[in-house]
Amino acid sequence: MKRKLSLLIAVCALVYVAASSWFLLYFSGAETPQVPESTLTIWSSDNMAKDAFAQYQLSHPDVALNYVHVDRAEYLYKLKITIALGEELPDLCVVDNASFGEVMALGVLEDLEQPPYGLNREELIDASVPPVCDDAGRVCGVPAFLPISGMAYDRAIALEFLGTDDPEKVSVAFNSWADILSRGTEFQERMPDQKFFVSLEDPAMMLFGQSAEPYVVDGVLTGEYRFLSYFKILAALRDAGLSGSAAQNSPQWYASFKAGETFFYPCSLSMIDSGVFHTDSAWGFTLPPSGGFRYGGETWAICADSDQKELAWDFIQTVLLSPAGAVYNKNKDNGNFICYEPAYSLEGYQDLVVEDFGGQNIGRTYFETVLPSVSLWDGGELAATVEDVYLQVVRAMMFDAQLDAQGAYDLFLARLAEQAPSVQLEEEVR
Amino acid sequence: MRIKGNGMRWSLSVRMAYSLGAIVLLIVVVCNVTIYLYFSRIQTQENLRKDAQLLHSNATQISAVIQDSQVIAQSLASDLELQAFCTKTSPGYYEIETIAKKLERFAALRHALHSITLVTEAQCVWSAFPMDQTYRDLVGNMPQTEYGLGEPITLSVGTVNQQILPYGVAVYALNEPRKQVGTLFLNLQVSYLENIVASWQNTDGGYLLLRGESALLGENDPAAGQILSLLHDRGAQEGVHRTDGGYVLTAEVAETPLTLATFRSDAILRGRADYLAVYFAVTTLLASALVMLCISRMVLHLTEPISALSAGMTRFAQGDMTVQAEVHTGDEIELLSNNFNDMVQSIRRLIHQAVEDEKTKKKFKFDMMISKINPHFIYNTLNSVIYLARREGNDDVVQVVRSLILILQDGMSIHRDLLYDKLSTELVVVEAYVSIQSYRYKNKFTLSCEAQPETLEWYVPKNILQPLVENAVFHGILPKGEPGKVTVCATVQGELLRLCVQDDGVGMPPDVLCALQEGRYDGESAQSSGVHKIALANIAERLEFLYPGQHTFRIDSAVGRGTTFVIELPVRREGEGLEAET
Repeated sequence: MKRKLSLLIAVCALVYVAASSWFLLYFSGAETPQVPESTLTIWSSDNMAKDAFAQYQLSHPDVALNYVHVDRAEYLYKLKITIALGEELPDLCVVDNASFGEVMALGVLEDLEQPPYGLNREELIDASVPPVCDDAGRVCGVPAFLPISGMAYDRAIALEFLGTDDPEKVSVAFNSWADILSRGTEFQERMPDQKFFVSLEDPAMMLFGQSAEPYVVDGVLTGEYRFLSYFKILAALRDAGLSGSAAQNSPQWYASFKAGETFFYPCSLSMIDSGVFHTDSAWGFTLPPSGGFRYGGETWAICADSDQKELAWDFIQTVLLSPAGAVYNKNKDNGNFICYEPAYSLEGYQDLVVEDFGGQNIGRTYFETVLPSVSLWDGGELAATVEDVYLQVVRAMMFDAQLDAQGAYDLFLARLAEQAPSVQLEEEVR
Repeated sequence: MRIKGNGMRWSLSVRMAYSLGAIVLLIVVVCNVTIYLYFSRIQTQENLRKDAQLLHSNATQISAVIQDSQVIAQSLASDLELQAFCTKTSPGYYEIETIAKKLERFAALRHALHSITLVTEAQCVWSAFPMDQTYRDLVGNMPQTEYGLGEPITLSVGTVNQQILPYGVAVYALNEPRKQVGTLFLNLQVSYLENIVASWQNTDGGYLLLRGESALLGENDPAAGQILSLLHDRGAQEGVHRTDGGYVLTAEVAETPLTLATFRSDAILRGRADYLAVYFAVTTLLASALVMLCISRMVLHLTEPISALSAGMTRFAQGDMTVQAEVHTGDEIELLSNNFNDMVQSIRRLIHQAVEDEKTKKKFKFDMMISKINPHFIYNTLNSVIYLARREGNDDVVQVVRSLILILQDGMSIHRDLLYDKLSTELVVVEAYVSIQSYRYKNKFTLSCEAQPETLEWYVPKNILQPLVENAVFHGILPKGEPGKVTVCATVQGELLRLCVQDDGVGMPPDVLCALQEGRYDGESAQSSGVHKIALANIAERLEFLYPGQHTFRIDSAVGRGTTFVIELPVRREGEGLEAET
């Protein structure tokens, strides 16, 4: 009895000590917040990267996202000021194709064909490669979406004006800019409350992006008279009241989609994917006057100063350079096409039927009609500057109704000389 | 009710152990509960203090963002180019574009800034979209005198809705400081503030950023309703406010109309004190069990001698005279134990003495019994008679006397303390007796001895059969008036020797039989029935003396059918304890 009792006492004492120790050890430590192992900083003007990261995190729970919204308009300047102030750049830059040339010129992006990345440009659609190559031909980013755009039109207005909303017939009816201008008068008379374009920048971007040749070659602005013809068309549209004065991509511009008063919009695939056409109106997608144009698209690039390069590259590969990424982008929201070449061998991949466009197979129109009509050429800093100056003049034309085509052209050359003094005119060189 | 034997309700050790254990348990529980309550309160107050400090620090962080924007606004407001623009009545596009670019450059300095808007009498220049009038429409007719943090504005750009918080700063002409020429609105990104607030999030609770009684951030927090309700009732004063289930902490964001608030439940504030409740409960039980066991052990050790003494007394009461209590505690218990042992020994000695005295008495009585039927001088006289009869040639006399002598010799051996004899010898004595009686009672009876061969060498009490045969002849057969038979048989019944003396005489009346069966040999019935009462009593007493409790002595008889005496004894062989058993 005594022995049993002694054994019981010993066991009880052990349990008591063990319980006390466990409590002390387990509960005395402060709760340490779970810090993710890695944090990826992304600067972007849209939510595409943010949404994709949420999916990426499902298989990488130890990675966090530091998402910084940077408006498209100020993206370049923000990068510049950050560099100037010695502050930290993001790990991943999501840059609009329009400014990617200038971003490349800052020299802060990684060459993705070099180790440890090893990007194979053969895996990218040919049309997407030139805009992401710098002057030295290095691939400094992965194109997220194809930078070629078509034109969206309001089917109701098309039916009323043309008697048809068939994309091919609409394209035929407005086969060239001359058709736009010639039919503009009739349009104005019959539908005075509607306009062809809500912003003069819309046709301006189309005209600019339809060039078959680069604007700046070896520091020389080639075919500068092209801009005079652009300004003439734009002035005609403005003077005929066929275009509005909203700034492109501004809140007013986006608000006009729901107003049902505008016939045409430049239409990139990312715009369709973002859902801006999800309005009460039914839309169509067709070839713009004189063909498709360079517009839209964005590029994902890795900053050289990043300490999360591997993570950034893994993320890029997952979203933009993999069959899974192709399927994800195709199936999310309204769907979009990435520039990953092998994805296009998947059966049915090029089909994209969008409800907002009346069930039209946007993909077929895009790949069969729009894409083949565009010539692509390398970007570059000067090309971006030229575009920027050009658009400034266009906006000046919107602001000042007295600024005619010639005045706009002169202003363009003057402003170009101010902002890009190194650019020479072809005429001067000759 | 008197407790007998081992019928205790509670042993002393159990009662002591439980009593002490209950006291210890009560003390431990009271102490632990007190400690827990005290610690819980301390923990709550400490956590409340830390949370209030943290909240104040967080509010300062937000205030820093806004104050930073104020610094930028002041820098811009003093910019000469901007000053000049403010006074223009009809600025050209490029002037607008230039100012917009300037505003854009300043906005780019801070992630917190979405854009900057300059509002003059002539123009509303929004850095994001200089030509867009959306901002002016959203701001509306905001009074020029209201500056600082304004109401939040929702900007829809495509499908993306962004909330911005304009921070207004008046622009005064540098050359006319009292003349306001414009207003700068630094548009803070609410998402930036959201990120700051999100960085504070932990498991303790979320935060609300309030403007007045409406939530700017954190409206989806589970405690948002409770916080807003309390602030509605009491106003957004900085401090700690008690509410249902916890506390609402508020801190004002300096130089803004914003308030930062959070809710901390009592459970969160108690923090690890709740775990302590579990800890105390478990350790209280364990400690109490441990103490109980230790006390039991100690009590057992102390009361073991008492239990030993009690057990010894119980055994003694049940008849164990050899019990001795072994207690060596050096205290009163050992004294008690020693006294008990002495008492037991004394009682045992007394009992032993009484038994010995009783034995001696019995022996004396036995001796006297033997001496009643064994006169020594008769033997010598009979030898003389044999001599005389032989001289006269009287063989019958010689035979009778020899038989008599044999019987007497057998009697002598009893006198010499021989209590047992072989059955064969006893049968010889019986035959000698019968031989004598047959001369007197010729052809009146016959004797038959039937003994199993192995029994002949066994020992039986001396002179056990002859009296029974004598009884059978004289009181059984002779009264019948016709010849009879006496049968003596000896058989084995297991470990018992069965001796039987049977006659076919007149038998006994039932009352006589009953008296004899009851051992009343001296009774009136025995006396008048002609039973040799002395012999039967003698036999019975000797059997009792020699085989106490191990024998049977039965008498079966029926009137007219004879009598049977049956004696069953344990088998005694050569050397097997032939002394009288005590």
